Amino acid sequence: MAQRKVLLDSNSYFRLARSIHPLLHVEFGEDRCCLYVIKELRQEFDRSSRLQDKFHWVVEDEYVENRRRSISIPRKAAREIGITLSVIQGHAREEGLGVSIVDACALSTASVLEIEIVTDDADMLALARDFDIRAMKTLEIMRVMLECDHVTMAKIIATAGYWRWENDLPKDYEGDFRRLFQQEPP
Amino acid sequence: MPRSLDVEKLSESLASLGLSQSDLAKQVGVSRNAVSKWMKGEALPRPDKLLKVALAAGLSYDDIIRTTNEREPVVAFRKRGARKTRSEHVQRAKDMGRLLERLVPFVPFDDLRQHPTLKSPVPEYNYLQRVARDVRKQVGVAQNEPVEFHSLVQRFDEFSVVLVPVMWGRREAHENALHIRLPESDTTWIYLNLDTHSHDFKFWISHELGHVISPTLSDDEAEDFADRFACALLFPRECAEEAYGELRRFSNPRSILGRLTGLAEQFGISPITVLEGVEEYVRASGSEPLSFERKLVYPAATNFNKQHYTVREALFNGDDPAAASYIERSESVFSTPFFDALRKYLRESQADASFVHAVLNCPLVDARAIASELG
Repeated sequence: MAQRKVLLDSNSYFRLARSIHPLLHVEFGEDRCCLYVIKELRQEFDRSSRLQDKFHWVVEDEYVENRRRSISIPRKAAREIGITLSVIQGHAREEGLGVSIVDACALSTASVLEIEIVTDDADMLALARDFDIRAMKTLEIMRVMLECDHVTMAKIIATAGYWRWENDLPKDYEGDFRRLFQQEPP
Repeated sequence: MPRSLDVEKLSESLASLGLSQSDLAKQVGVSRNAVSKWMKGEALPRPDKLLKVALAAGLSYDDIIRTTNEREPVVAFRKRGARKTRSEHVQRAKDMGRLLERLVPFVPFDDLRQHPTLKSPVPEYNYLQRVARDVRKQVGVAQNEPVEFHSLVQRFDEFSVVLVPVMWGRREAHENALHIRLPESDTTWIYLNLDTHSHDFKFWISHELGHVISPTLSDDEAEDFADRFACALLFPRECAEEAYGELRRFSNPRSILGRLTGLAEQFGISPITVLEGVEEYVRASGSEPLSFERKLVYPAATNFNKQHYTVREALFNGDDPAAASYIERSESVFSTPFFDALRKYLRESQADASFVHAVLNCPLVDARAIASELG
């Protein structure tokens, strides 16, 4: 069975990577689900920070190593991703949707490779709908991980609790948490 | 904004690929009638279909779609050295402008009054000296005293201009400052790179002020005016005249350079600005030019800068600031409402670090730290 590749956008990576490690390139579930980031996201993390390193874990060796291998892009797909990126960005401009170039690249890659993308950003989700790209939220991929025992409920609660502590709750967090896990969110 | 399919370009591309309208309909998964309507300009494909059309024809969005938007952000770069401005720089800046529109409702712009700007600005020496004198008077600085950038900041606030202090790096940044005008909301936003040497920074902030007080000028004329205004403000005629008197007594270029850097130190400006001030004075007064090769001043200015802090180093005692400190100092030193507007917008819209990343063009990790601080 072919691997079920899933791309993470920048925020989803941030929300998951510290608590669930190693996060990328690890298969889970019967459908061999595996999480990836794009090369551009890796490069963005390599940009040197100008502020004191509040998120210092991002540059620790084990996380850098885990991000080292990004999703592979066949040559033909690279050209299509370029065209797709221009159309997605052009459409986003027309509709007043604001996404960063890195996340627009992730959407374009997901579109061309016909794989799913994980994002909590309302504008990203709107673009995914407009371009018929399969998208799910961070809590939804955590639900997938829970169902195949890749993570425990305790890990999910701890991770979401950390989001609250960091002041980084995704949009519709509480409703989504109740819907997906049938319990009160931390 | 009004947009339409560039039928001519699409037809050419399809023809070169040997594709008919029927082939296109099959590839896109629509009826031939639908394609026919697109090609007659009667309808525009939905986003997912437009993407398929672009892929089939091998055309980018800008190739396949014609837009007419007179209200799109107007951007101008204050570039570092001889950096080339490419289309992606312009597009990125315009995208930042579109994001700034979202912050407009959260900025307390004075919509009742308009601060007076110059009636008919001209880049002429005596006129510029008058304007510079007037600005010096308004900020309470005598003609022979150095102007501090802090004293200029208040002037921007009076013109409803939002300053956005950023840290784009000393070497890697394409620009020292980015000026974005939003016609839709009639507002101006100026990004200032704090990773700039303090003397250059003072010049750029004065240059930006020159633009703000002369909104009727555009393109090269506007740039010329702003450059010469900055020079007149930072090293006015009185100073230039006195410096000329001293400099013309020297015959040795090293002595001239030494005095130029001494004056630069005294006024907290670049030796290049001092020399330009003197040269402007010489031209305007018809005095005899200095016997000095201009190209000698550039390496001297580079060495001069190396001995001084960047604005970021000066503001944060040479350290990388924490996000809280960056925001606090930006607000207090630059009187900017930017971060407060961003805070309100993030809370109201539930936008996250991606927005901060895109609107500040800062590293993602920094965007997270800023969003977390403002959240």
